[in-house]
Amino acid sequence: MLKNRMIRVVTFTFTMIFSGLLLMIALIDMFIWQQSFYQCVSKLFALDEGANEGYVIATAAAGFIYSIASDYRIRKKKRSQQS
Amino acid sequence: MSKKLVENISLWQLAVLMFTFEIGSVAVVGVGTDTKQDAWIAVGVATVLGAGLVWFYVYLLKQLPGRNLFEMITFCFGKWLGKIIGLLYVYYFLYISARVLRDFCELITSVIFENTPIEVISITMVGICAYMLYLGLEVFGRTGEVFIPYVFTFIILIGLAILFSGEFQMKNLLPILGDGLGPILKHVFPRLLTFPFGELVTFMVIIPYVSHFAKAAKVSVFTVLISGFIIIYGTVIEIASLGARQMERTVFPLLSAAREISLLEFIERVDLVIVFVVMFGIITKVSVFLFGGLKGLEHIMNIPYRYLVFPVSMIIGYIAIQISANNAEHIEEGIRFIPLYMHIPFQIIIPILMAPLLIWKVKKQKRRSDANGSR
Repeated sequence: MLKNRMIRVVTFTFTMIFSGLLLMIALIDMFIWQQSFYQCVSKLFALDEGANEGYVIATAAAGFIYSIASDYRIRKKKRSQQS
Repeated sequence: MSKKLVENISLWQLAVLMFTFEIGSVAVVGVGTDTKQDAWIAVGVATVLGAGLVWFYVYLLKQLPGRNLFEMITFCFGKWLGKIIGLLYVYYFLYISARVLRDFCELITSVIFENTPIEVISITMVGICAYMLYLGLEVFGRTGEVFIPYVFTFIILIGLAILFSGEFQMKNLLPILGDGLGPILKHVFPRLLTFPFGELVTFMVIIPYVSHFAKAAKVSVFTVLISGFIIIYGTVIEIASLGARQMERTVFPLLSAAREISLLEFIERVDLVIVFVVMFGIITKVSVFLFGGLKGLEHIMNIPYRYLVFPVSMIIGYIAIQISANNAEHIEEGIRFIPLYMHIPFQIIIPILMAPLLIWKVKKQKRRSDANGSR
């Protein structure tokens, strides 16, 4: 079980980088615009009317799915090497 | 799993990448606008200091030949602290990569593709960078080689075209040092030294893969001086054609200067040539930062970076849009926060802290191996 978890390294890296960068943006906004952390984070996830943020959200989601698929591929490769 | 592919680029490819990297964002946003008509002097001073900074980076790399920035950090600070500092560098590289991408997206959506959503430009550009990096550093280097003659020629020709259009007003460059040296030195540190010259810290990830590593220092310093000269040339064009006041107010100064060109009432709207130069510069810059981040992740997570190219690139495309609500906010963050709290620690403080540790540890290692050899 633990071994399988350790193998999900691409998905883990994706999540770590994604959340880390969002946190970084929120912290910078907090510092510059003197807003609360909650305000900055909610601003990040709010979808502006008329904007096409859906496109980039879709590509980020595609990146996440790709990372899960990569992990699956790596696991399969490892299993075939073991057997 | 941790098997690494050996990739090499030539010295010429390194020089090309460095040159286009330096020109990239500078051609979009311009530099030294706060120093008005003395901006070119400020760029000159920053170039000399920047060359020194690059020499220092290569000097650090020479202490441990064949190892990149992340491996050096681990060597100096140990496994765990090294991984934490390495991860901070990864975030820094990826964040700056998203910022550079946003610069370009703003330029494109306000100048050429006015009706195209900024998100589409972001996804397209990051897709190109991802594909190039997936193919490897060698392909990246060769791409630079193919485009550099056009980039160089176009920049030179733009200056000459402005001169022959009669828009080049030497009086705009006067008075020289009207406010003294103070404002120039204030502007050089931290803003001009860190952007664009200090950003070459990312090349500490690429330089170890150069085939003739021994000559990397000379080539790097020479390239920084050449690119500094070209930036001075561009700044002089901007000041002479727009004037200091207008240059300060313009969002994209070089582009505005190129719009002044009108030769024989036939050759006009050559600003697209600048867009080409900028586009290639930005592709290089985003790719170099992205490569730096990916190499860091490869080192930290112990997984080949190619697995991460697509997912991380998609994050960059997303972050470039989320980074700020509009261009004004983006520029404000770039002036008030980034140089002081991000560039200085990662470009100057950490490498300086690392230097004595590195020299001491290398000497210790040598002494130990000499002692083992004499037994």
